[in-house]
Amino acid sequence: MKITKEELLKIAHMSNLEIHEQEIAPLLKQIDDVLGYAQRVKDLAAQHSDVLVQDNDNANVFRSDVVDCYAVDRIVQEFPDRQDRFIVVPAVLENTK
Amino acid sequence: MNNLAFATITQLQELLHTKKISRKELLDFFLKRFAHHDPTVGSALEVFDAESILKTAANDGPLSGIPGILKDNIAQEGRRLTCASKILQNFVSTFDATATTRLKNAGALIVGRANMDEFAMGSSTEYSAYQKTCNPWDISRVPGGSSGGSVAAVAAGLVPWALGTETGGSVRLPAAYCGVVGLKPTYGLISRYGLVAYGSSLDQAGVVTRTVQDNARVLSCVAGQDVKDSTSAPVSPTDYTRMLDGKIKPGLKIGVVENALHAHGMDTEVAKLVEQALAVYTKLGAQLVPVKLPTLDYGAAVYFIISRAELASNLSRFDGVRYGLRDRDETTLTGMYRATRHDGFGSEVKGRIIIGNYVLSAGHASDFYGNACIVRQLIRNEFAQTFKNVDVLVMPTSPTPAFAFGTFADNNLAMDLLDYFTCPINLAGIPAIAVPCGFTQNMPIGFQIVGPHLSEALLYQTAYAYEQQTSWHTMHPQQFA
Repeated sequence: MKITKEELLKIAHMSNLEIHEQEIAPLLKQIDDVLGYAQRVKDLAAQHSDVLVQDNDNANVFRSDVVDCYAVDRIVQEFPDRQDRFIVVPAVLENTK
Repeated sequence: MNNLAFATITQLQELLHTKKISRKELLDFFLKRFAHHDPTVGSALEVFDAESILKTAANDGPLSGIPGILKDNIAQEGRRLTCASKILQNFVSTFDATATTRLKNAGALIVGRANMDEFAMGSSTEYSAYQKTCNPWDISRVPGGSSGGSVAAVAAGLVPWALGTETGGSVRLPAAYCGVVGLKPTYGLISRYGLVAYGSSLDQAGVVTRTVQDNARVLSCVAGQDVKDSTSAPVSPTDYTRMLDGKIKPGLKIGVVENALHAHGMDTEVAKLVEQALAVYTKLGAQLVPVKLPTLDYGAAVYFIISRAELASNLSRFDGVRYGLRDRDETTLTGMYRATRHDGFGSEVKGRIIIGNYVLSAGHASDFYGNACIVRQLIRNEFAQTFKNVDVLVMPTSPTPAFAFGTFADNNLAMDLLDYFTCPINLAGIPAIAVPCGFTQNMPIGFQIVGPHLSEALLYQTAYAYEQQTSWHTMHPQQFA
């Protein structure tokens, strides 16, 4: 099991994670170690492909579609950047000029 | 007055009821202990002021006036909630977790926020972005993790109870390392509302105390169904102390997990102490039945895959938009997401996010995530089958005692594998309680009693009967006595 640097960077990109050059080698080791160990599930699962997977025994729970009364003002206080009650974010599209 | 430090909840309540001490005096006593000892232990990320603590608690209730601490991934209204991560450094929770509300309604005094591995990912509390927490029995060693702060505070006599959380053993492992009692309840017994998500199908709050009875008291206050958590179990409030009479269930059958006791890497002294605990049960009249759990050897692998898959999704919400840290230099939205998450998460968390998205990615999902779900089902089936023949299982909590800081700095996998005996229980969603059973290398050791779904009362009864035959729970770290 070997994950390549390219795969690592691709997955990091999908994960919205910037990775710096010096972080790559230790991350590759961490990921390789864990995935290498985790591979053992394949053989056992192959012998039991007919098993019925029931992730838990819980039944679906319904509740009425009513907005709970949250402390909106305090939630707004937590916005890293805001204008009145709106969240301010950087530009969605890059300015290429 | 120092004997108060290691008094049980029952003893403290007696003092309060007979007015030998007031709530305020008792709180001040424990706050002074934090001021004096926590610079050494490092258990708390924050200790609140007495006035604000008293203001949040009901005047009366089953935990009235009893101080405790919550792991910093359990929401407390108006308090910071950091998960020991830089990405939530200044975040203030706008609401209480259901467990927090129930504790406050029970009159408990919540004195602070306990240190932990960042987002509960680790087994030593070394991954906290803020500080290290020491094992009160030997400050050159780790307390275990990820609920290391909660457990160290209880073991050092800074509080009589604490809440931690478990995804793969994060309450039981540190409880074993620090010589205290740690319960991981059935999945869904304590509401997850207000508990910052890591692996949603595994996460569960747990209770840390120095005695079994105290543990049962605290669980009685927080357990039970909650409409705000659709996975909470349909269980009414229960008094878990009701079966604590020092006897075991008549005809109790204990399954002794042989492949755990003889597992690779198992310290022989630890195995011997667990066998001595089993001998106590024989004396109490229990029938020991040797059992084998072949899937135990796959638990950690399944856990690595499922927990990382779930955390990769859960942690995608931390992006610098609505709360927490935001990078100010990037000029585009995606640049801001990427830089914020780079700067805000520690290296362990980043590695786990990448693993999670890898095992869920199109080319690898069936090999990893799909197969892990199948093996998880085999583990669940194996436990269910085993509990047809025995009432509870006994096995080690950890293969070794607590280790020195930095031991696994170059070998994360070896540290992750410390969850070998604990994480199968989380995968099955069943309860287990870690109980102290002796010392090796002058460090405490614990064993765990595992039961079928919603068997907490039986686990407490079984653990209490053992505790009453032994004196481990009366021993406390000298440095903090």
